[in-house]
Amino acid sequence: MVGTSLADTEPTVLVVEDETLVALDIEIAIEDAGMRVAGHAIRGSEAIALADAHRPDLALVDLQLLDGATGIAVAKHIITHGGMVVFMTANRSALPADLAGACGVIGKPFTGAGLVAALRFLKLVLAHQPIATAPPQCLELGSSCEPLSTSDVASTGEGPQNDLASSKRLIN
Amino acid sequence: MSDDKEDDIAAIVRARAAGSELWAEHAPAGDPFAAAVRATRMAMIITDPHLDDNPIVYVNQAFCSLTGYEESECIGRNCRFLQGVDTDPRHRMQIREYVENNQDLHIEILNYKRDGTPFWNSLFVSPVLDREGEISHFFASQLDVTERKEREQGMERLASELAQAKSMLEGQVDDRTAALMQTLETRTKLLTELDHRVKNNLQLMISLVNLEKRHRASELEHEALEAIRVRLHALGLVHRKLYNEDSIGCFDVSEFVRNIVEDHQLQSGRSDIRLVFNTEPVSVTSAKAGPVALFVNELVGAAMRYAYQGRRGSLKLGLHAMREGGERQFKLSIADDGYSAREKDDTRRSTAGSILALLARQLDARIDWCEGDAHTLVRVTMPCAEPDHSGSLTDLSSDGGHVIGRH
Repeated sequence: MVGTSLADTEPTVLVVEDETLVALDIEIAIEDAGMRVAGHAIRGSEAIALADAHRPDLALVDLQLLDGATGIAVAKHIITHGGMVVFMTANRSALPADLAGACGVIGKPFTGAGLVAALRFLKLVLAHQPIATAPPQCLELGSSCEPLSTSDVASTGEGPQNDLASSKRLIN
Repeated sequence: MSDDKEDDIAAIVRARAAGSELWAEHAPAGDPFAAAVRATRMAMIITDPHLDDNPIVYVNQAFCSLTGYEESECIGRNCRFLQGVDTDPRHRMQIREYVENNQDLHIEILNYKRDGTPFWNSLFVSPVLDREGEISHFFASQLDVTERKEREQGMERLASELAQAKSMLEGQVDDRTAALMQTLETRTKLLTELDHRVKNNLQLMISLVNLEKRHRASELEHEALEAIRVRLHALGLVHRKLYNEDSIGCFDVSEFVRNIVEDHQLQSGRSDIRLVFNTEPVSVTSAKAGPVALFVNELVGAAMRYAYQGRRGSLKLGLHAMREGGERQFKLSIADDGYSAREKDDTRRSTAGSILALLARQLDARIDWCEGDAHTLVRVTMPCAEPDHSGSLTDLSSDGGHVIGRH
């Protein structure tokens, strides 16, 4: 269950989920996928504070949080500040067509294995690794997150998160 | 006062004299035109524009019958005495304008009889020219068109009433439609909310089982919890698909089968088993979606676990719709290049008396383990929905393409 020993260079992931048991399940999957949990928020306000404090590489964001339907606002804040967001929701239809700028959606209910596979895929996206395979079926990519082609890695660069990510390219 | 009266009398006298002169000049005894004017049922008058205020100098009998005035009451007066309170001032203006310009005029104007009864007068006015081409008189004829006019007005009233009723009805229809749309929206919201909650609760259950598994040490416990987790996941997958697409009421088995097989492979870590799909769109009703999903899940799980023991191989999954004895059915098969007798036997035995057998009864499914055929592991036949939602199903399967990305 423990990821690689290169703990400092593992991408960090913020979990924004109001169900604490589900959040724990997600955190385990994050570790299984070789990433590090940056924190867990159950409220939108908390999520923004944690995101500002830790600048995670990736945030997994539920739409409905303890302080209401604040997930989209959280996502927009994180994206504006250069973070990457993937929504995790059972209410896919509540998301706008452009996913509010998020990289993708993981539909609930997900399974441990499905989520780990999705996270491994996202890890490659973060690391600007050329990806040969299609995303796992539980991960729906948004229009702002074209899968990286092997030839043109720079074309997806659109914010500071890519600089951050490119410093961690050795991770796989 | 008395001067005015004298003036009036003088004017009448002048008009009478002018009328008599006209009559004497144009209607000596035996003149058929004069006789016709006198005797026609069409009301006619003649006025003299050379006299002050263009007074009437001749009226025929029909005019007296129409208006109720005696001849003596008409001669010497301008014919505006027929007008009254409800006469449209625009009509009066029009007459004056035409007469001043010596033009022919036809107009329908509201006039009043002697007893005050209003009537619609279809009035013709035409200047009469003398030999030198100068205007000598005006000729006017009157026809009572009250009946027609009232009919027209009745029709107009009716039309406006109809238009009013129509717009009222349309308003009611709009209101009703808006109310129905509102209800529909509320219900859709409710359905989405419910669907959302079901999925969240399934997620919670799956996570709970996952967490429980981590606290259990024994292989046996792990296996039991894993079996529950996979089944919950299969149900979760159904709910994720069920209300996401336009095909409410129908459940696309082909997409689900792909997903579940891929999931089982992921879960079991059997990337050495090559997946080959040969599926066509097959749908079952939403009510059957859960049991069908569990059924397929059990079958695929057993195949992954027992049919590829210590070897690589290919799992060829076939799904086809067909008609048998008038009933629409689908056939699901799992095949490989060759199964050993033990693999086939183990797989079959693992499902005996299990959930699979129970669901088969419920779904009216026939399971054929194809004994003697080393290439086919199992073949299942069960009834499915008529493809009346085929349009949305096609959309669904083609839509799923980029999301799933594994074709």
